[in-house]
Amino acid sequence: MRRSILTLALAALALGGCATTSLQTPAGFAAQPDDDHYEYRASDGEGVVLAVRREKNQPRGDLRFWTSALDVKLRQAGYQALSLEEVASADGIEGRQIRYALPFEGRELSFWVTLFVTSKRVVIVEAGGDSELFDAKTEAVEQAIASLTVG
Amino acid sequence: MRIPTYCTIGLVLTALSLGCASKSAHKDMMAPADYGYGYEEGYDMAAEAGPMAMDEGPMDAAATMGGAAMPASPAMAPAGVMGTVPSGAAKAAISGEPAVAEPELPTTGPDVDQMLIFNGTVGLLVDHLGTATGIDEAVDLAVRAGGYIAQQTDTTVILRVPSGKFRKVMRGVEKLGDVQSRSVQTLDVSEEFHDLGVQLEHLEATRDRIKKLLSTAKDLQEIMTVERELERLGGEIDRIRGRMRFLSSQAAFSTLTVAFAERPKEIPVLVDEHEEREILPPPPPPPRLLDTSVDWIGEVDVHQLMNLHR
Repeated sequence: MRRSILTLALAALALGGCATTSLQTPAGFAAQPDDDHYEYRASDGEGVVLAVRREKNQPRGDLRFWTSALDVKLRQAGYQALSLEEVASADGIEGRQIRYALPFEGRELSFWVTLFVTSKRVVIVEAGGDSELFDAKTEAVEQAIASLTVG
Repeated sequence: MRIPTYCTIGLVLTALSLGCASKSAHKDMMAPADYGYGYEEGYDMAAEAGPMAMDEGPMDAAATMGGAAMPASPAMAPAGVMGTVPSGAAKAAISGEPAVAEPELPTTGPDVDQMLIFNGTVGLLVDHLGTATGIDEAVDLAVRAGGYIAQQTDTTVILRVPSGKFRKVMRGVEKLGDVQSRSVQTLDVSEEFHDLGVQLEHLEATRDRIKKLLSTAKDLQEIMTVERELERLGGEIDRIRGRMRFLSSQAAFSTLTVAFAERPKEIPVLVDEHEEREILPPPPPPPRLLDTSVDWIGEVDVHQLMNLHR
């Protein structure tokens, strides 16, 4: 556990300079280093995945702007929004979480997108997996997101 | 041997009667079957013939015309000269009013000199409740042309119009609705009219001769015999004159029967609301939304997250 947090922190420092984004890897999950698309990516043995992106706030927008822009894209791609949650990071940054469902080959996938926005950064936490498997791990995912330090 | 005077008168009358009978038999043999059309003893000519037939002219002309001569009176003129009713320009010249340019639609060509009787029928389809108006307009057309109404029912009107205006009135009537049927029948009575004129001339000549015999009658029996013959000749002359007057009126005024039928009333069709919804245009597409150029937004996807391949 300690090594995961340390790895994420070091990676964030290396890529973002003074950025200090960090997240605690949930129990039963394994972080996957050297991912090209994500700052952090971890999955459990059944394919439930948790990942963190960190992007520039460019064009500069607030939490509402980025949440709306991302929601439009996902809805156009066929995602069905189930709920909107107000969340907060471990370091007190307010965020928004939209929970989606997506039909896929006769099954349903769950996909949670949580955004935290600062003046310079947009941090996106994605969590997803087969709904039948994901639902059993929602509490662990929620705790992991709550452990995020946006920095 | 001396022959008594009354026997002489009796022989003369018998010979005259045989002569008339011979002419009548000749007429019956030669006249076409159609010539018997419409002839009735005691026919009310005043009611049927209209104002033109009320003139004294026809009788006088018929009484004086020669064997081959055609009647000179307008009412007795054949159809070829049926322009007995002045044209619009002629009326204007008479009354001093400006001439109204009306399309001339002569019923016959200028060289046709037969005495023709026209009988036309027009069936019209008019709008719902348009029969009464149509009948009124048809009557107006006939009256303006110098004609009159002969008979009318709820759906049919029989008009009598000057034969010279027959075609023009018929054309106008056809504009009052959609023409469903149209027919015209023409009867040529020239020969019958000519034969009647010849018979009339001979009968009147015979009557004149018998009248002279009446002045030489010696006793009452002779006088009564001659007067009976005069009475018989007078009846025959009246019958022929009546028939000629009837033919003249028939030729001067043609008959146009106009029958009206109404289109069924249009009933508005109620539109089924369900079907109406089906034919509504498709709903508009969703509103045009932000098309951001930020790359990472397009990469936020559960499939990429899970490394699944669609």
